[in-house]
Amino acid sequence: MNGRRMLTTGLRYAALLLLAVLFVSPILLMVVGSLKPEARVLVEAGSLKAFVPGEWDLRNYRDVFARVAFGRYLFNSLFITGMVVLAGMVVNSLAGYAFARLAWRGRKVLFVLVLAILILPLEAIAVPLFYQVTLFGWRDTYLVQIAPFVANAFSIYLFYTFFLGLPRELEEAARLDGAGVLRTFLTIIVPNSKPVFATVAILGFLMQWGVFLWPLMVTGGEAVRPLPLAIATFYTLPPLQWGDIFAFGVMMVLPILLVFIFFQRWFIRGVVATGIKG
Amino acid sequence: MMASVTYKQVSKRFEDGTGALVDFDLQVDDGELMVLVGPSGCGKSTALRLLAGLESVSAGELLINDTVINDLSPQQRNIAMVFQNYALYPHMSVRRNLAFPLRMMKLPAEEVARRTAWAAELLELSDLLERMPKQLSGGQRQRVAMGRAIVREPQVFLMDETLSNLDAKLRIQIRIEIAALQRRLNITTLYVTHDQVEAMTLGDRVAVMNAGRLQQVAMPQVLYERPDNTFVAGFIGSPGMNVLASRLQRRESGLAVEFSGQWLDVSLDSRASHARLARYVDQPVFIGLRPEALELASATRAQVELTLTAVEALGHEQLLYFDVPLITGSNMIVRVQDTPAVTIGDRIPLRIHARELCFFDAQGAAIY
Amino acid sequence: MPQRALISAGLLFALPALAGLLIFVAVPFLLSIGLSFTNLRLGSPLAPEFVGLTQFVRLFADDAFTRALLNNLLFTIVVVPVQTLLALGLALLLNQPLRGLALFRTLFFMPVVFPLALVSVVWILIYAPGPDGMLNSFLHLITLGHWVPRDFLHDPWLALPAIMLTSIWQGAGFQMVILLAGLQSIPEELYEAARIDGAGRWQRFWFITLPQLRNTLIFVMLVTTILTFRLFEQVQIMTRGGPRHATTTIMYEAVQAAFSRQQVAKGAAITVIFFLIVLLVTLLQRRLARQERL
Repeated sequence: MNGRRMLTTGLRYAALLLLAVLFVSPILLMVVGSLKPEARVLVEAGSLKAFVPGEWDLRNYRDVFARVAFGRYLFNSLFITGMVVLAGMVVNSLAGYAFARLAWRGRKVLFVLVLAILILPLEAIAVPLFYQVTLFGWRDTYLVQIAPFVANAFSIYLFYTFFLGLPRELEEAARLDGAGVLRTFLTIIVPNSKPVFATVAILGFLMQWGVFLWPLMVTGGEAVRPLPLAIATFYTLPPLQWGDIFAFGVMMVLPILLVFIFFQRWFIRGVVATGIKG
Repeated sequence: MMASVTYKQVSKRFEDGTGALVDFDLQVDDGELMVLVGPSGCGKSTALRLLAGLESVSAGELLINDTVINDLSPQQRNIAMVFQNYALYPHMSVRRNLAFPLRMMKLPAEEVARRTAWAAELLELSDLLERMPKQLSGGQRQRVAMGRAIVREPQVFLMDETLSNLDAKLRIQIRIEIAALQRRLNITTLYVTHDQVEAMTLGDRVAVMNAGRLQQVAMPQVLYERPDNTFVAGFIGSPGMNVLASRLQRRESGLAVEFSGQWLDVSLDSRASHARLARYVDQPVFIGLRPEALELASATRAQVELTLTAVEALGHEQLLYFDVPLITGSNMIVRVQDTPAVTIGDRIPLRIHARELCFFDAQGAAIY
Repeated sequence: MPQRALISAGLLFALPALAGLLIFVAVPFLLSIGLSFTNLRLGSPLAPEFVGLTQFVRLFADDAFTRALLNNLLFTIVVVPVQTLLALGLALLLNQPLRGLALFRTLFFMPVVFPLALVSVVWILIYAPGPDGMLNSFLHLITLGHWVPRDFLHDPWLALPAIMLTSIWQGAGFQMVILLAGLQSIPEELYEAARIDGAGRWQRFWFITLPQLRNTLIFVMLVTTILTFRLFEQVQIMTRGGPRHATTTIMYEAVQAAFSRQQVAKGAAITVIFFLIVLLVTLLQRRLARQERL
């Protein structure tokens, strides 16, 4: 009996190992390739040597900074993502709380509309929004990359479900103590809602960091260009140096990867929350 | 279908080293309803799950009839189990739940239908066959769980605290139905519960367990009248026997035992033989008195006077709590049938039924 | 606390978010419907006029657009089942108390964290033509030398499958995590009861696991379906819709129209069609999932 169990466990590990290798190899290619001189990158890409670094050479990284304003792109991404996430946490949590706990006219109807917006991906409104912001004169700014993403139906929904789950006694006690609605929200609700804020922040970071379609449409020059767009244009910038591109990629993914590794539990929880919604 | 169950020195150790069951020996006769009872963590559920094949045995042998079944998978053991939370398949109707084990046995369709109908009728589920589990009440779900177990006509029937989730009245009612069903079908049954009242009313025999070990297995009345140790004495009965520390002394008139600072004569027709008791003179022992083994007495006939600490009036009887500490830490309880006018703090005169005094040695083993 | 104050508090709280959703979602949405009935071109000296359904009619006569619809359909039909099966397989493998489980889960989920733009660029090298290309030499290896190197991204037959593979690689981890959570929420007791009832491994999977997982599976497939219709990054970066429309998609056409050619009205019309498709798929999922919420 035990022998058979050991066999199935062994097979399981073997399968997992094989799949893990397949999944990781593109990432490994990128990381290792970023540390190789250009000549070897292309030549070795076709063999196992693609995964062997040899000497650790940082010249590709230096090259990136020499060829393009990477620092600028990094700042842009950090700034835009940071603003969207921070402003979003404020705006969406307030709205989520309003729907969950406060009574006001039109609440039910508006909530249904918010839920309807949930299924609308950005692409469904990208074109007319593009036209709209052109009319506003917002092209090529930070504002145009931040403002449309602050209010987010999905974040509102996450806050809403979470606040619904908080015991009412907390707020009732605060009200008996004389606290107003805003004060109750700030001093009672928010401190007890760390999990949902963490989830929303991390999911928001993940989604916003990789946005490509929108900046492609609404930005032109380098000044406000974020990283995903920057790497695509970098790829088309002669000469085509894969080592440099990989270095760019590594640096570009590092922030989000670090956030992911350190906050894995919240990440997974947030992703699962999207699943529970179904 | 003859099916006796034997546990031979069965032990179970979990991966973190905890011993859930230690040197467990038990023989269940064919057609018997054996109840395993004990506090949480005593190993009763483990013993059941080992028999079902859901856990593997660390040492010892499990036998059904004379076959060692240690290495058989649950599917191969022809055992049926009713779980505490019923484990009904939520996406299947009652009918499909009942039929599932039969389909796994690959029985022909008419046989499946026949047995399903038979079980449904036996458990009064015929009107509920098309319902889904979430549409059923707790008691109905319990019956479906039992139905799913009996359709297979198994050799052994296992029930794991199946009544714990029901309210008190329903529990009593279903308990009676289970007993009747078991007698009718005559299937060897092991029934696990933490409720000693349930154990005493249901079992042909009862196995009392504590901390992974069997304490005593006997018919309910024997457990009550002749407990093997202080644990069984205190566990069986509601409330259980009052067990307290004491000493034995030899006097010219015979043996005397200490009770709340007084020395009482050990009567000649006491439970334990004087010859045996003599060996424990001047040594620490434990004595036990059932709550009904003391009675209120007039001042002249009283043997002791105890301070009353609490009163519980139950209508038909009263439980009086006295300032005498038991080995469990709680206070001594005396059961009285009438309702005397007493107040907390009173010194109450009491008389002891000396013949009902139980004796235990310093390790807790009974002396008879 | 007077009742009136409470009412205003609610409205005030929700106002910023509602305003944002109104201006940046609701209005553009309505605008897109409106625009799709015009012939608006940015930068054109002529004033836009109402043209009824002309945009839509022209779209369905447009080779590029009909090809885009077909490509999206193909893409969805292949990617959704394949990715879901892969994710389910991974989730089943991980649904055991294994040592290193967290590590494996992280590894499989990592591609999800990578921005699609970056993924697209990196996979361009993987698909490099010639025997030195990574995928070419890998296939050469496992077919024991029978593979002839191809230029995946410029091959009219292989370009779309190449993009499919990239997308599956990037997206499987996301589904896996959700499916794994679904698997772990199935009570162990059900499996125990099934084992006692005589069910073997495959039967337990078929009668317990799959039915219990049904709603999660449907949801996961819905989300992935909608994601596949949004296909854009890979096309923009890896193939530019080519060769000869072999990999163009609805969104790619929309962006081309509105952004490259300034044909905002045409782009809006494509967007409306896109929305209708998404709506249809969502309603379908709701209908399927409504049967028995367990």
